[in-house]
Amino acid sequence: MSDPLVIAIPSKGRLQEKTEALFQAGGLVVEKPGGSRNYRGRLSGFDDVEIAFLSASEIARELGAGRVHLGVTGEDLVRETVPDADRRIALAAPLGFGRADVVVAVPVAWIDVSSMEDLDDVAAGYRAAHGRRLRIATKYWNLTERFFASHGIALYRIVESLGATEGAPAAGLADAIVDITTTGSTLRANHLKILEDGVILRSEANLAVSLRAAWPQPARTAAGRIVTALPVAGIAGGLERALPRIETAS
Amino acid sequence: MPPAPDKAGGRLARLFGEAGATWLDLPVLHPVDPFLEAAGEDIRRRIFVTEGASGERFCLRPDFTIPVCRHHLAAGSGPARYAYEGLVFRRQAAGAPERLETGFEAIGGADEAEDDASTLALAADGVAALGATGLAVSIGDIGLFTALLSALNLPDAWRRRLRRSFGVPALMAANLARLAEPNGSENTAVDEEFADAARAGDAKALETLVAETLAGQGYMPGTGRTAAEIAGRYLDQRALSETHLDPAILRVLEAYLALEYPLAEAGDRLAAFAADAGLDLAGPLALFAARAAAIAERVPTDTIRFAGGFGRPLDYYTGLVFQITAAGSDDPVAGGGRYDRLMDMLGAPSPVPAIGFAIRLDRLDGGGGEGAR
Repeated sequence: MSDPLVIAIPSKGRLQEKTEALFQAGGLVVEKPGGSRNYRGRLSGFDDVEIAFLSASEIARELGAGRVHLGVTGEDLVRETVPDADRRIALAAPLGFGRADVVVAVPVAWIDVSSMEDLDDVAAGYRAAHGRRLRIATKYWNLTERFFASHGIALYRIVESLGATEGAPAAGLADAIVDITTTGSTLRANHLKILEDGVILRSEANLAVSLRAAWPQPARTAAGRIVTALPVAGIAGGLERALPRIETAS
Repeated sequence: MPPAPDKAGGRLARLFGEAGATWLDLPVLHPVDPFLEAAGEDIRRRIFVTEGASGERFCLRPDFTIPVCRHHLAAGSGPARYAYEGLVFRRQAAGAPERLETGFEAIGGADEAEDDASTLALAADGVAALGATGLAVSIGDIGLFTALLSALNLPDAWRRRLRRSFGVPALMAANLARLAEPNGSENTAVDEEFADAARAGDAKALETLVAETLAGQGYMPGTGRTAAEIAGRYLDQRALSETHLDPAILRVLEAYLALEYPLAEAGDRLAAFAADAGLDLAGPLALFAARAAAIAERVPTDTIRFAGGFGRPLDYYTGLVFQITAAGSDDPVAGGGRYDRLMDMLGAPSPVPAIGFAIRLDRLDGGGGEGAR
């Protein structure tokens, strides 16, 4: 028996519910022996498949490291957590849930700021006016740095935010934020507005394929069977396109 | 290439010592904050960051200027000169992430023209002492460019934008093109009462509205942008949306950025340029002439060229910038400049003039190696 195909699925929250529902809809039964505390499970009818229950950001990391073959996680986490993500992970298909936009938002009271160009100008003049750099609160360090660099903005500081990012500007901890939003209602409740060109990424949950994992033929076959069973448009084609990109260094 | 032992002094210890420098043996690891505060968050992508035992963030020094300035601040002394040699560390797509540099910083000197000239001359002497031949020096002047923007009476927002494009030709071209085309897009995504106050040109009323909004939405007073600042910039932007960079001014800027002269004639040519454009640049041009004369006493001026567009985008550079190339390669073997605003950013109670340079030993050393290209 060869090494098992490892599929990582979210261990908690809405992503878990939606993923399990998707698997069920495809007639795939995830068995979790030993109840909800167990971190490894199986897929009924597949001898060589192992299910790993991980947090969504752990799934992104494990896919990038090649320790799991397939995983369900958000594109935002893949792009934030994994360096050089496009060479390590292929997004086979969006799954239609877990939607979240990563956006740049500023106080509504900043009536003079509506675009990244405005923010660039404010950042450039900030130190002279306030004796410090403009501060952006976020937990998306990498996405923020890349996006700001793509707009030529260098003169700002990131303030690490470990929760309730949207409250940082009113509390005086930061001037603006980069955070995820689904409906925008949390931003509005905190008197923040999204910049016109401030959408960094429109993210949703994806079936992601590790390009760094070992992919012996039995694993490919099993992955093909499972993916074909899932009722998601284009997902089998997505896997087919991903597999030839796998690095066969080992 | 093996690094030279730090403690024993570097290859140029004697030359720098004669120039009055104290030799510094600085740590490799430094708190990351001063680097990010001075150069902005963007530099984080190019430096190596690590953590101390209690979570404090350090970086491997990406250059020596900020460590030397911090040393000077901590020492709390008056004017001083420093020299160093050691590895610096930068993440880059190609090439080794560490390289050997030696350099010199003069902090607190009062005579800008003399300090500029002696520092530039010392860099040229240092490079020559390391065996480089066929030296060519390029110089630029950030102070002169900033003065030009002021003399052209450009709006603050435009000045800021052009200043932070200075020395990055592609960005400068894009920004000039952007300012030259009619803008037309007034910011319409604001409430009607704000727009009414703005249309009435009532700055005070607009400021009051913004202040009430900030207070009503629970913003901590005194922690960020003020109502006056927001209202002021809104009115400025509104005015700018109806205008664009005058073609005549655009031509002046483009002509200035394309200027290139041997240093010996640059002063006269720049004076003629200012007169033609009807601009008063007397102050900065007097400094330029004094500096050029002081340089001519020390360095053969036929090796030095001034370029109007040569500069650096970082806002702590304020005056002279220069770089030196040697025969056989266009990659600079030394670079330096005046950074009168850096000490202040690092916490000095008042601005401190400073200038310095670094020499790329990796491009000079080890005949047959990279330096021999």
